[in-house]
Amino acid sequence: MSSTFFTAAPHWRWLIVAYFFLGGLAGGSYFLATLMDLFGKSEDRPLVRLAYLIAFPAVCVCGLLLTVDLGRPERFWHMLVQAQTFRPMIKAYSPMSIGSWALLLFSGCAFLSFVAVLAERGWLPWPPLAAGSPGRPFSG
Amino acid sequence: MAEPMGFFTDTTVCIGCKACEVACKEWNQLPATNGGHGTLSGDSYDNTRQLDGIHWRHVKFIEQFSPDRSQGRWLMMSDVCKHCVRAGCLEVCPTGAIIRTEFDTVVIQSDMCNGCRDCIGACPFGVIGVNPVSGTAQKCTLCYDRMKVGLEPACAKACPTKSINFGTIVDLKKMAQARMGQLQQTGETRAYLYGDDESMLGGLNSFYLLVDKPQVYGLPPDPQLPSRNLKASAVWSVVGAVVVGLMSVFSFRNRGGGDV
Repeated sequence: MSSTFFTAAPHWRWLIVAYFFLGGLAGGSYFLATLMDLFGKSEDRPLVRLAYLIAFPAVCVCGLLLTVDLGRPERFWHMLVQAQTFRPMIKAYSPMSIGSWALLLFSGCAFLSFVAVLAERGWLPWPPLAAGSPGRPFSG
Repeated sequence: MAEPMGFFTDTTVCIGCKACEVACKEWNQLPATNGGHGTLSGDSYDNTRQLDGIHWRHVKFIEQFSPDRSQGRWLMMSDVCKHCVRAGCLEVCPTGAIIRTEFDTVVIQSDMCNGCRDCIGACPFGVIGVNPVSGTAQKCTLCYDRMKVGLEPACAKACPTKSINFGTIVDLKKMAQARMGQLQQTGETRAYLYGDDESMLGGLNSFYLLVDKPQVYGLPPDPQLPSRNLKASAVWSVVGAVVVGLMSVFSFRNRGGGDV
């Protein structure tokens, strides 16, 4: 008999299910966008932009879902910072610890790519970043 | 570091009075189930049902009958956190809220836990649960606050039959061996110790004397750490990523701009 029959369920419910769906969506979009960015042709550019535009909002919602699911949402930062010593909290052998850091780093990358797309399309209000021509419709 | 401390629970002298449960709840100020509006489980005298965030001691009642019900036996066992020497909960906790104390026990610091519930699934014994009042994962602390000032845990103090014994692991092991010898002499040959040696998660600091298979008591015969899955899971993740990556490369290879 498997030893797992004696464990209790952690009761990760629909918030976590939604997180996995959106996390997969964000990760998949970003992964494909990066491949097309590196190896694709210029025709692929609209799709690259679309995927980058999807990835960052999706991963933002992921973070929110995970935080709301915690028993004490205001302590979400305890995953990243040791709450007594304020040192970085990383455990290489804890999947959730690694996952927290991976999510943070991925969010950072997704944010930069998101901003880059906005700048490329000229949708940024801040002039130095708004390199593209403003107001041009999003098209292929 | 102080000497490793723990429990030796001799289930053969447990009378199922639940004094340990009451003492534990009172000392640790644990809330009532469902605001005090409990229901009966219909499962023998067990209305506690399980160990969780508000039940840190749980007396199990196991009724065994022969097929014609002429013979019967009632096993009682006060279950508690095993304070494993290699603890699954301690291993996975991403906040560092779960610590090993100077008494070699495992304690969840409630002011640091953020209620992610990873430890609940990682515990091979199903000991941990969320306390709805604190919103954090909680379990037996082996009365860390009492041990700090030299007192024994509330449950062991309250146990009227010395089924729950508290002490140093060295003393408890001697006590358990003596009791085993006594039971052998009286003809109770089914008795054995569960979790007293290092083969089970490096040793359980709360170990048991049982007279039937572990499964009968709802205990895993061969508990494992969650980290046993890490290597295989990592390999499969990488394999999955490579397969998806190759598939996407090949499927986009011949695509022109027209069909995007």
